[in-house]
Amino acid sequence: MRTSSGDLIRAVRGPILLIVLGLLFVAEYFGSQVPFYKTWPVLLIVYGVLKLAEHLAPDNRTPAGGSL
Amino acid sequence: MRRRSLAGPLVLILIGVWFLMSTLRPELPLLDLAARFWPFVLIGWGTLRLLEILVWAVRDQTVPRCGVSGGEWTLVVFLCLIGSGLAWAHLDHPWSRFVTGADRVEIFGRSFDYSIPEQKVAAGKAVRVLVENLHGTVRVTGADVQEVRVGGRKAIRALQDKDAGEADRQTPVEAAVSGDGVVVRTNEDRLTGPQRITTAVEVTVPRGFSVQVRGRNNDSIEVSGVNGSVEVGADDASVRLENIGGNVRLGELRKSDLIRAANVKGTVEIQGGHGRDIELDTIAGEVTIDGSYSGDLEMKNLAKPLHMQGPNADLRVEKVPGEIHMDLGKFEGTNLVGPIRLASSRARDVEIEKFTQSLEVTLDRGDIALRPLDAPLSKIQAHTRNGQVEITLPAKATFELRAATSHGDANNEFGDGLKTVTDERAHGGGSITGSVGQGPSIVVETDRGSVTVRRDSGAPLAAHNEKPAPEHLHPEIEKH
Repeated sequence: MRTSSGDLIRAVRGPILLIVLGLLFVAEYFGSQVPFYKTWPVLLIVYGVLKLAEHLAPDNRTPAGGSL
Repeated sequence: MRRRSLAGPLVLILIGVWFLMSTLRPELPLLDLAARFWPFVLIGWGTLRLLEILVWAVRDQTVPRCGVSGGEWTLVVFLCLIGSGLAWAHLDHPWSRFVTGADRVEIFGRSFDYSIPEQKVAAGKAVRVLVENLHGTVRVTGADVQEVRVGGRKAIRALQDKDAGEADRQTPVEAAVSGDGVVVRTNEDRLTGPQRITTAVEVTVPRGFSVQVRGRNNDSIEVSGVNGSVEVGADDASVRLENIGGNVRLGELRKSDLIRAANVKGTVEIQGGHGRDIELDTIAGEVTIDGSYSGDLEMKNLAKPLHMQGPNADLRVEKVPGEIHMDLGKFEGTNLVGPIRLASSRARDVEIEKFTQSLEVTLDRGDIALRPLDAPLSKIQAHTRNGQVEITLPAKATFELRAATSHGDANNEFGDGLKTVTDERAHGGGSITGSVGQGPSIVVETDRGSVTVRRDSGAPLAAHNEKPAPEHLHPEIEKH
């Protein structure tokens, strides 16, 4: 069974948000020290981009009633 | 079949290792590490999950509908809250503006240790040293040297080592000649940050120097081996002085846990303070204590008059070749030279033995037990409003005695020559009067309690004071 691009993007959405969240905190504690309360909208943007990609991705799933 | 992620077990292992290290190696700064590096757990967790999903997708296996489940997001929220809290407490970052720095340093900071570089200042014409250290300890030692040496250590409480280093740079310990003295300053007042500094400053001076120490809240101030005078002023400090050639003045010491002075050739003046213990041993000069001290006071071998004045007691003793021990409830003196005068307005038992010259004791409440040294006796007056009175007189002494109680028993254990009169009425008193040869007046009185006159058998005073059953102590109280 092949996973559609939309399903894949939806599956990786959580891990990517987790990584970005971690990076924002790292940015606060190291290097530029930009505080999280200034950078949190990045999470919304990433989430929005991933949702957009999910919608735009070609749906190559098996039709309903298939082997799911 | 739904595939399980490795991320959960790995996070558990990581947390377990962290706690294990914190118990096995408590010296490691694990809280600091956690406070700084916790976001990498999120990144690692996300990366692992991402790789798992990609591998499953490449292998044409079912990928989960959500890469991170609702329960995992809950865990992430908790992790963020705990991690942010740790970072807020331990790291210096913009959130720190929401709390006052000093409190944070006090609660979450660590202590960093710095040594004070040794400095030597040629004494030249200087004859005294002034040490100013607001917090920490001061130790001044006299030695056979021609210069003033300054060293020691500094403990700085701060959140990070760079803060502590900055505080160390701001507060250099300085020693310089000023007028006829050398001034040693720890300069804690120059500190601009919330760090807390305690300095243990050690100063070695030529023996002939006088010493002046100014502090604020000091754990301990110690001076030893100097021939000049010593003056100490602080809000709160324990003071230990030893082998001092000049006068000692603790005139501006407001509070102290302990004042100890041993082998002082000059006078000792302790004024205006309150505290706990005082220990004075071998003082050649006059001793003046004016203040309120609630602990143990021990004084031995005082060659000149002692005058102690407090809110509840006034004591004057001409010399103390023996010792005095007193606390809030008791006064014990052995081998004292009078005139002795003790007045106490609070409940206090008094035991004085082997004293010479005159004695006057006035108590509001408390027992009195007296045993003068062998004849010839001097005038003795003792009065308590509530308590028993015992006096043990030398067998060969000459005196004119009046021992009386208004409510209590009069016990004549001296023997013949004294007349005992007992009031037979309920709650009545009694008296023992009489003269043995031509001697000084001895008057011992109590308003409530028994009065006892004994002949000295050589037994220690404490043996006489084995107290009878309570009903004999204050019969009038028991009967009521």
